[in-house]
This record gives sequence, C-alpha cells and structure tokens, in this order.
Amino acid sequence: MSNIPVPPDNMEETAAESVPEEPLTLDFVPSYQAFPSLAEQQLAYMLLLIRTQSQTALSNHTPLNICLVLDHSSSMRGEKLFQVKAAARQVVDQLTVADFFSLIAFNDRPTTVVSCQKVSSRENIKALIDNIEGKGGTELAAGLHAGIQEIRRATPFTNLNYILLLTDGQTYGDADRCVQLGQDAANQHIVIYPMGIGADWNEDLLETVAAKCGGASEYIEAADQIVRVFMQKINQLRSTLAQASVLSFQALPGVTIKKVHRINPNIVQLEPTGDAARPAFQLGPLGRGSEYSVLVEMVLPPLPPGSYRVTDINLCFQLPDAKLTQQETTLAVGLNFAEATKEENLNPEIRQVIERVSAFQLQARAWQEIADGDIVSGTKRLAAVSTRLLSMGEVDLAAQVKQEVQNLTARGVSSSQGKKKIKYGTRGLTGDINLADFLPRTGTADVSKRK
Amino acid sequence: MLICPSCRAEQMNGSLFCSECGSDLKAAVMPTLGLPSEKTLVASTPALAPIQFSTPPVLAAPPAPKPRSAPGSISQQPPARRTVLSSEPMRYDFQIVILNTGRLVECPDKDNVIIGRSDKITGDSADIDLAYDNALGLGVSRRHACINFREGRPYLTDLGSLNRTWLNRQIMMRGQPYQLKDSDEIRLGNAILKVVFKP
Repeated sequence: MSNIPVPPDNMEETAAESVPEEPLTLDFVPSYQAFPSLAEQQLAYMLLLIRTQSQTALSNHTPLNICLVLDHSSSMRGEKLFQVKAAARQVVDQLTVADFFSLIAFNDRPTTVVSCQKVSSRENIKALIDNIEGKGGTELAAGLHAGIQEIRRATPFTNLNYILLLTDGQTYGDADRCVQLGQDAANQHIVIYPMGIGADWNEDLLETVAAKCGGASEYIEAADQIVRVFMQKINQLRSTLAQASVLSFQALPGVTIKKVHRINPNIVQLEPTGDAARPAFQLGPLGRGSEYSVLVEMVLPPLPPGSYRVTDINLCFQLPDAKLTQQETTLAVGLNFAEATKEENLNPEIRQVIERVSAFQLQARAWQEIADGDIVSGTKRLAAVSTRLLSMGEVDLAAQVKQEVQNLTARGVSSSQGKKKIKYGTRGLTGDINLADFLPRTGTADVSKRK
Repeated sequence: MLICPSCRAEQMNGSLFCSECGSDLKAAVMPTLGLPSEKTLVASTPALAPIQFSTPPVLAAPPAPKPRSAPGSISQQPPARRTVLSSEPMRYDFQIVILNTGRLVECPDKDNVIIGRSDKITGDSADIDLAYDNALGLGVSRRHACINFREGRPYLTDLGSLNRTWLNRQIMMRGQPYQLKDSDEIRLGNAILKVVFKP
C-alpha cells in the first residue's frame, strides 16, 4: 500500500542509543495508524514526543543567574511575607558558589536588596533578606525594570538568566510597560517566571509577560506553598538542557498546521511566528531527563490511499553554554491513508490528551467571551466545561467550574479566585497522564538526521 | 463536515470534540426521548379525539429530540408520510393553575413550552413565567421544566432544575419526559401547579 519506501522503524532510536551525546530525540504518534481517505479536507491530530537525555557532557557547569523580584507591599505583610523570605533564604541555600543571585523588593518603588553577586557569602545575603518589610503599594513595572537592570550585570557570564517575580496584587496603569519589559527581557535572553499569590492579581497580564519571554506564570493558592513552588522552580531551572527551543514545520502544500499545544508540564497554546508556509512555535526551555509532548492539529487536503510525508518538523534549540550553541533535529512525519478506518483504531491515549486540551480551549474561550461582555454565552460554555470535566473524572475541578457558573448566573461576575483555580487547574489537566503509555510508538519516521 | 449532536455546530471532518461545546463527537448518539417508531406513529389513529384547537395542528414529534436522534432515521422518513402525520393528532388544550397565587395560565400554543422564571440579568425568558409568583423564593429554576407534545399529548420534562420537579408527589427523573393528564399536580421546587384540561 505504501507509495514511499519506509526505512525500518527503529532506526532513529538505535541512533539515539549509540550516540550518547545526542541531547534529545524527537518522535511522533498519529491519532490513527491509517487516516481515512476522504474527498474533502480533514482534521488530523498527532502527538510529538521530545525526550531529553538525563546526562549530557555539555552545559553541566553553566552557572545560574537568578534574580528574585518580590512584592513587599503592605498587603504582603504577615504570613505571606514571612513565607516569601523563607523561600528566598532557601533559594540562596540551593545555589552554588558559581551561581549569581540578586534580589529586588518592590512596592511603589523598587529597592535593590541584594545586588547581583556570586553566592559566596550566604549569611550576608540572608541577613539582607531578613530586613525586608511590608509597606506601600504595588508597582510591577518599576520592580521588573530594576530586576532586569540587576540581572543584566551577570548575563555576559551565563545564559541561564531567570527572573522569579512574585506579587499578590494588581498593578495600576503600568500594564503596557510590563509587557514591553517582557519583550526587553526576551531580547536579552532573560526568562521571567511570574508567580501570583492569593486571589487579587492580574493573571492575564502576568501570563502575557511570561509568554513574551518564554516563561510561564504560576498560581500559588496559599502562603504555605510559596517555599515549595520556589524550590520546584529552582530545581527545574538547574536542570535546563536547552534554554530556548523552537519548533518549526515545513508542511506539504495544502497541509495547514492549525493549532499547536504544549501538553506538559502545563497545557499552553503556542502562538505561531514566522510566515504561514513555515510556521514556527516557541517551545520554551527544556529540562534534562524529561519528556515533553506537543499536540499538533493539522488540516489535511483530500488524499488518495497511500503514505505521505505530510510535514517536516524541525526542533532548533540553544544549549546554555557561553557560545549559545545552536543544534537542531529534524523529523519527517509520514502518515498512512486507507479507504476505510474503524473508530476503534483511534489511539486512546491521544484521545485522552485531546479531550483535556479541548476542555482547556473551551474554558479559555469562555473567559474570553466573559471578558468581552458576552456573559450569557460564556456562562453556557463554562457549563459545558463542567460537564466535560465530570466525564473525565475531574470532580473537584468540575465542582469549581459549576460554582463559577452559579456565580455568573446569579450576579453576572465570576470570583477572582475561582477563575484562577479553573484556569490553572485545566492547564494542569494533563499532568497525570503518563507519557510512557504512548510507547510502543505507532508512527513511522521516514528520516531523522542531526546537523 | 460533521454536525455536533448536542449544539449543531459544524465541525471539520476528523474532529474528536466539538469546538463550541466540547461534546464528544464520536460518542454513540443516543436519542433521549423514547420516540415511538415510525410504524406505530403511522398506525396510531386519533382514537382519543382531543378537543378541537383553533390553530393549525402541530407536528407529532417535538423539535427538541431531532438533533440527538440518529440522523439516518430522520432522512429516511419519506416526506409524504410526514404530511399525513402532521394532520392527524390534535393537541390537548389545557390551563395551568399556580396554586401558590391562584393565577391561571393558558398553555401557550408552542411545541416546546418552557416553565421557569424570567431573569433580566441573564436574559432568560420562560413561556410560562413564574417570576410574578415569587418563583425565586419558591426555588424555581430559570429553565425548570418544559412541556412537549407528542401525538397531541403533553409531556413534562425536568430540564435539570436545581430544586427538582415532582409529578403527583412523585419525584421526576431529570431529562425524562412524563405524560401529563387532567388534574395532575406539578411541583417545581416549592411552587405547586395544577393541570386543568379544558372540557
């Protein structure tokens, strides 16, 4: 049935095993082993798997450059500030002598508590952290600007530059400037990880800032989780294999890449950059010894039965050594088409992923509609989300969504906390899916080469 | 093109979940109402001659179950039979008395009569609107229940109300149609309604 000769399946994997310094491997699983051959366009799903090596000769000695930008407005007083200081002290403990550390505390104006320095004297740094007090308002842009200024002093020495931003309140009037700063950070290879604590912060703004520079925002429900979240983040940053990675597609004419979602660690819809013929998606940093998956939705033209190389996928990533070495891996995606396919042949794990992603998309659209003032339609969509979540067995999250639907129908507004719980909850829906389930792989990689 | 069975949105071939309502497009399509088969519909004669109603007769099958019933069965039904069907059954004409306030409501001449309370904030409206009867205080949902007609006979369905519906002191299953008879007592939350067929 195949029109194109297909080399043995295991070629890529044997290559990866025999060459241990290969930092990552790329693989794909289509939703059907054979797609139906239709007379009209059809939507096809495919899951891309990126596996990174746990041990690489490269990049083990690249120092981290961490800048904490912490909100110390009066609303942080008490438990929250206490926990934040504890978290900051632990971050200092986690860093090695080679790493760089700086700390900016901001309220209405920024204060450089710890200027950018190597972590040679932990006790001195901790003493400085202890002096932070809660007072004043919240002006995010000023703090972020000071953070970028401070972290820049060490950027010549390393490429692992991270700003951890923590706030608990809304910023007023400087939202545009924050987004601009996010862009500035991206230009200087600095990644911002904003974290919001409690209910009263602007997740849309922080998410936009993070998306500008390849970071991700984090929701901290209660003060006692601050330390844990900070530690997780530091460990994750420590294991960075590639700081920035870009996924680009070279599709067959007539094939359109419709949507691309990163599945883990959180569901994120990736925005295309570049021209339509060769769309590229920023995948963000990759850690060592992990598996990442990406759900690709593409529109296929009418095709007669046979095998087709529908798209080439190129993953380009930067290793965090001083020279910013670029590496890339290319994978050719070959899909089979047959006259008739049975529904049972649908890969159940992929179906599970698609179900969760579609629930995530649905709630994102609901919030968009509510933000645009179409509360009736948004509420209906949220109710549908609740139904979907129930059918997935996500009882707690479904109840949370139902609660918000009730709030919206009764008062026309959603609760800020509920909205965050739902947004960050649906984002994490795929966290418990074991990606090892996708093996043995069912796709056929035509060519796999490394430049 | 695929059509979503629950919201009728057009979806591209190969889609697994509706982009509008998230429904599983590949799930087995189950008709929710126990529709009588085509044969029994044709065979049934208006033996129980209902009271003449001045408006044009309505189609036997209520419109609501159409999208959820198997699409094949609808298209296979020849149009000639349909016209025969639509002329046969006459609708029972009845009134509803809201016992809490003693108000008398004519059942509107519609295929799908929604009982509930209107709400200005959400823009919901009901065909039998209990908002004037302190429906909010009595625990009536905005879209509490609906009355459909099959072969002219009224059927009551709970539309997933919060405070449930009782028919003659028996709790009704949500989403399941129950036939209404003369002098039936309907309880929506704490609102009590009486069905009075016109003589």
